[in-house]
Amino acid sequence: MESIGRSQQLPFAGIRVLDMSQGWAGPLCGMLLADMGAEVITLEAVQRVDWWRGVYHRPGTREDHGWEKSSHFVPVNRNKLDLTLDLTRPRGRGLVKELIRLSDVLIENFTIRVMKNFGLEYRDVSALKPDLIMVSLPGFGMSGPWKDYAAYGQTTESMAGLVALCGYEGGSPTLQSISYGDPVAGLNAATAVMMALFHRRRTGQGQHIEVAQVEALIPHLGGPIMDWFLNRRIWPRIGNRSRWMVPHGCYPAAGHDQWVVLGVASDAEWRALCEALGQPELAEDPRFTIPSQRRRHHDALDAIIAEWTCGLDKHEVARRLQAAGVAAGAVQDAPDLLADPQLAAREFFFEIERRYVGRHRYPGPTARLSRTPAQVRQPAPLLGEHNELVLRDLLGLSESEIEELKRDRIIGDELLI
Amino acid sequence: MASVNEQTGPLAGVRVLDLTHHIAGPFCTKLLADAGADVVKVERPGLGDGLRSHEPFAGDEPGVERSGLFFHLNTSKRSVTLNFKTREGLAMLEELARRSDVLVENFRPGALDRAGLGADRLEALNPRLVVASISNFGQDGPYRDYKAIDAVFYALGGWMYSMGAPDKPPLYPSGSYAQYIAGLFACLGILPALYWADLAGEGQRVDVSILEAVLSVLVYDTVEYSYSGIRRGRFGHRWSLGSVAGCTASVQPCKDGYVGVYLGHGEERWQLFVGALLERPDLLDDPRFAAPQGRVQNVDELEAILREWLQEHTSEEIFHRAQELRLLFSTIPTTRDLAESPHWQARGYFQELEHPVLGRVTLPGPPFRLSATPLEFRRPAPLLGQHNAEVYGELGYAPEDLVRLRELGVI
Repeated sequence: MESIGRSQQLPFAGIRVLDMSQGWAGPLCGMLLADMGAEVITLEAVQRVDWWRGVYHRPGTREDHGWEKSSHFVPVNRNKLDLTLDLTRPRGRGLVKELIRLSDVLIENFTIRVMKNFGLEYRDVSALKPDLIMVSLPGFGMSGPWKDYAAYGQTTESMAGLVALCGYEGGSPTLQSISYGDPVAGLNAATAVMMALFHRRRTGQGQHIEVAQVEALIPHLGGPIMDWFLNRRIWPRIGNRSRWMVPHGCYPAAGHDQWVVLGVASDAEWRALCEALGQPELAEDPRFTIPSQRRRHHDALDAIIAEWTCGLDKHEVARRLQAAGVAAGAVQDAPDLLADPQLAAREFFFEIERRYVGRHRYPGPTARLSRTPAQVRQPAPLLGEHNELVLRDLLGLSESEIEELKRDRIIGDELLI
Repeated sequence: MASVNEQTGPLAGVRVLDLTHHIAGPFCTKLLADAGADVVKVERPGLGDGLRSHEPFAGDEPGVERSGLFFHLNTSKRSVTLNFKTREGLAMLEELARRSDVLVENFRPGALDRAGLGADRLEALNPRLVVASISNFGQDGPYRDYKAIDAVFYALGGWMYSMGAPDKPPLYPSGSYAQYIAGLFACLGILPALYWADLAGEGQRVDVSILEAVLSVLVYDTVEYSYSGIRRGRFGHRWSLGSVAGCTASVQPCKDGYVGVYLGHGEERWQLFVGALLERPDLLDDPRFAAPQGRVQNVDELEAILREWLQEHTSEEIFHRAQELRLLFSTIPTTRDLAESPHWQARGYFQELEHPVLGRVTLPGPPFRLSATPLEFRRPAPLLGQHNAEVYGELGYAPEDLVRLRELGVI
């Protein structure tokens, strides 16, 4: 198949991935493989599109090609081909099995019941293609008392213990501002697939990968989980303070809702901070000379720091502190990020035109390879955009067969329900 | 390269020279080591990786062999000590680089060049070598040499602005998550590069910026702004995608603590929530909540109704009852709750390893399960310099050479 989804100069050129997943985690895994040259075919149905397109909860997204305008779907599906197939009907399931026979990797993130109902469990698909690498992303895993339970990113994050650790001192447990469990599951899934591809290249052996999304996240707890196991200690929520650095916090800068963070890890940094504040004598103030005293008088110290920061632009505070050797940074929102000089100098955002949304900038590939850099070959596909390409060139269907599939709404390019 | 048959794991036979310290780099090389790669961790004589001196310590007693976090992040590796600022030390490091498939480092940008082991030198030594560098802001750019702590990544990376309550300062995410993601992105650069080296016989460099790693998991904030001008604010215990999405996610108090209430999308879930879980079918006809936008506008009233019900039930009751209705709720477990959970016990997720100083230590298991070539903890985190004799012996050094090198402070 002559395909726009493939590139010859990249490590995974020639690897075909069938991505049956939806939302963020699974599609991110597919995108990371596509960035490195794999031909990734994402599978949707006109009766049931990827819910990450927003049509099931965002008003207005069912009309006027609203399903093509999702700020969530577009950035995690670049470089993919889009095929629609109604898997609830035998013809759709038959075609997906033909595709699996021609694929190297299969990604799915349904609850375990769904793949069973489709007849697409690992034992089924490995019978179709013995060296297939299949990756499943169940929230709680495929065994254990909660195996049939499901998870959003927030469920994952909570169940992995992150939420209990986060919050203002004395306040409620707090969710991360991003649905952190989702991308972490996707990054782990892609890592696992790449390991399995390496193994397959040397041995010819495929396998089934299980990414229980909560299990993928728990290692990120690090200190607090190890402190429980070593010392049976549960870490309290301490807001913007640190267990090691003092002072450590988020301080107001000039302007409405403008903030800057800083943290002091050593005596040298403490003296540097006092110099930057224009109060070198503070370093000798008996309330603040050693870390344990600074911790005891953290409120008073915060007030002194805030008095200085609130009169200055947040970037100016960070610039002055960094020049003095103190770690600091402005709290940036989306427009700040798009204007950030570091990200701009490294050309982190890339710009691309896409039908229905126009020209926009998107976060670019993160791991930068010098010889085989990830390529943005095309934006996220439109619903069913590559139906004919895949069915005709890859599966060898005739024009009349494709017409029949269209007529029967096994395939399509317009949202049906 | 060792024979594939001698070792197990998907990366059996791959040799990794690990020059990393702290969290991001060691997390990356831990995943490679647990996957079967032979990871040789090079540490400073005396102190080793600074993370060895980081809490939590077993029994709260500091010591380079007592850090639980170091233990967690260095499973399956071998440790050698080496001062490569000495001439002989650099020669030994070069020999290790010549024999490796991957080199991973997270020094300040330029530090390896100054040590005499820049990209050109490494390529001359071993043209197939994959050289991965993890740094705070990347190998170039105006912030290249800035100092960073976790809070700086969250602040500059856009993660922190929308954390916390609207009437309070943005909230610190309370963990080193940015570094763990950067470690994963390093693996996601190294593994394709290794595959390419196997295919094409040529190595390359991999550059990972922790700041960019943060942006890459925050992906849609800048896109949403670019599409519609919406800037996501702070919502406290409630969470939102920043638009009228009808997505209700919040952490709520219940009878015995807290519970995560995640309704997600779709009318079907709303009907299950109100009709079956709360047993309030009357609310389905309530004009305040009929449409998703109404639930957003009248969220305070909705929350009051919800809280009344939650106060009558424990988090465990709510979690199981909701999940059985296919509502994706959660409990809010502490680290203790995680360790004692019957589910993770049934799956054998947490594992125990024997350590010569710490005794039996429990730690989180591998993050994913490969059916044919599972990740395994092949050995506990190494003692500082534990494998000097073994690794330097493989390079051809005799025991008496090692005595001399130790006296000279090279190892």
